[in-house]
Amino acid sequence: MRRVDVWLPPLAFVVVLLAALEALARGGALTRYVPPPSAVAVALVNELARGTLAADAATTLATWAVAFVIAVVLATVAGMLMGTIRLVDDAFATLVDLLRPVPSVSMIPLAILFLGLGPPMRVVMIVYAAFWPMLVNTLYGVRSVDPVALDTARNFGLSRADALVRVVLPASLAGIATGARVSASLALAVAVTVELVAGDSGLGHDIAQAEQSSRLAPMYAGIVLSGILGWGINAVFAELERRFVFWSPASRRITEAA
Amino acid sequence: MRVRRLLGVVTIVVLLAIWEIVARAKANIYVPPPSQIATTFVQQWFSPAFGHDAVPSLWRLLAGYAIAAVLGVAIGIAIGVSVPLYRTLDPLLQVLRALPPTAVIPAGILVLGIGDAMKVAVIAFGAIWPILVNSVDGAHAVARERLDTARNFGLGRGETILFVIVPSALPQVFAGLRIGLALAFIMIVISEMVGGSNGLGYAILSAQRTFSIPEMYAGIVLLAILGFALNALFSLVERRVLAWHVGATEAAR
Repeated sequence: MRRVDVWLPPLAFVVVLLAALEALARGGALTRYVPPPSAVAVALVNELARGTLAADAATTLATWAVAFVIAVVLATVAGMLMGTIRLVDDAFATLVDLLRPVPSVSMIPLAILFLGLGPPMRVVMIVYAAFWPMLVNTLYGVRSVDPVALDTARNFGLSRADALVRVVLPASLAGIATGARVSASLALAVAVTVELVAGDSGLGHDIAQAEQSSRLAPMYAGIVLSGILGWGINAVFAELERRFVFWSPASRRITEAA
Repeated sequence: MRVRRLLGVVTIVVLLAIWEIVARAKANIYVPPPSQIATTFVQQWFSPAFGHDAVPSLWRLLAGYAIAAVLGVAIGIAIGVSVPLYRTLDPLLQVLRALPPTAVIPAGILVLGIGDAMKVAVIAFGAIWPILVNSVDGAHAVARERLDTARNFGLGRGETILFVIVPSALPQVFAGLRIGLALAFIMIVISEMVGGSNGLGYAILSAQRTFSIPEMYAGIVLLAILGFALNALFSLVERRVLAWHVGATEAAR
């Protein structure tokens, strides 16, 4: 149980903010494109009850989950290879440096060209975007392995593979966990983004449809729901990180964003 | 280090060569050979099209990013140094930061139309959260002994913020600014794809829709170059500004 003085000020602030917005919107002080928060809340409940919004959110989450798992596996393997085999690192470091700053969403037209508008295109785009922070953080993790620990493992006669699984992997977990949290948030953002531009279903598609037919409250409801999903995903991963990699500095104060 | 760079370049050359050979052998219109993309790139972007599509994108990107940077750092530091503000606003910032930023673009289109104002506004909105959150954290987490030392030297509140808190927060502020830059790029590309009549995002999506395949690739290449160049410029500024920090950290070891 958290103490009252921790949650009361932010809660009071949000209530005041929403009340002010409500009064301004109802009083006609804002543009007609900003509905009162109560209308958005009602729309959120109605749309969820009707099932279409819930189904679209489920589609988005399913795409997110598949792509996220693929990105984590690919990036962890690539990070382990680059982090432990010098030749692989030398060969691919420049390529990574070149590709990483490229805005991932610029690849959307390319992905549509090859894969159309359905879920496979979205999964590929999300994997591509989520791969980079995962790879970089895994590399940080692998490079933070204490050389003495590796030497010790070798002295105890551990094979290369054994040392990888028993020494390098556990020591890299902090980096991998940070990468997973950052990638998870980014993956959701890219999922909604791709649906917005070129989806035929999902939360982003829902928001775009509502915008095009000027259904204001449902559009804002979709935006709010995507925010709730983003917040939930970040909270779950931060909590997992705090529990399972409790020794890492990141889990003491989680700051870095997507 | 030199061997490393050389091997890295060799990898890229080999990959491009494989692409060229396979693309020429298969002759799939979706996969033009790199040489053709390079030719199209030169024809397309060393022309008035650069002023029509690339310049507006860059202008919007820099305007939106500048707004996000100035507001994010100023408001972030202000929240970070004030305990009541921090307690009241930090949880809300954590929620807003988690919102997929492109989701607000449709709302931006309805409220502001599809002109430059909307694009600059949504870029600023997308980029500001990591800058804000990192500035808040950087200013909030200044080591106790630094603040005590400042007090012992008789520094006032304003001086402490300017000479102790801001420099201490800078490494984290820059981490936020870097993430913000990446988000600003996402926002410009998507806002031009969804609601635009020019700009690079619009250009590559309409090239795909009209099956101008080499032009689409050339547009992606230009975006890649811009992304890479701005990121490199950012690193340069960061190294300059944080040189004292790196030096001081190493000297302390």
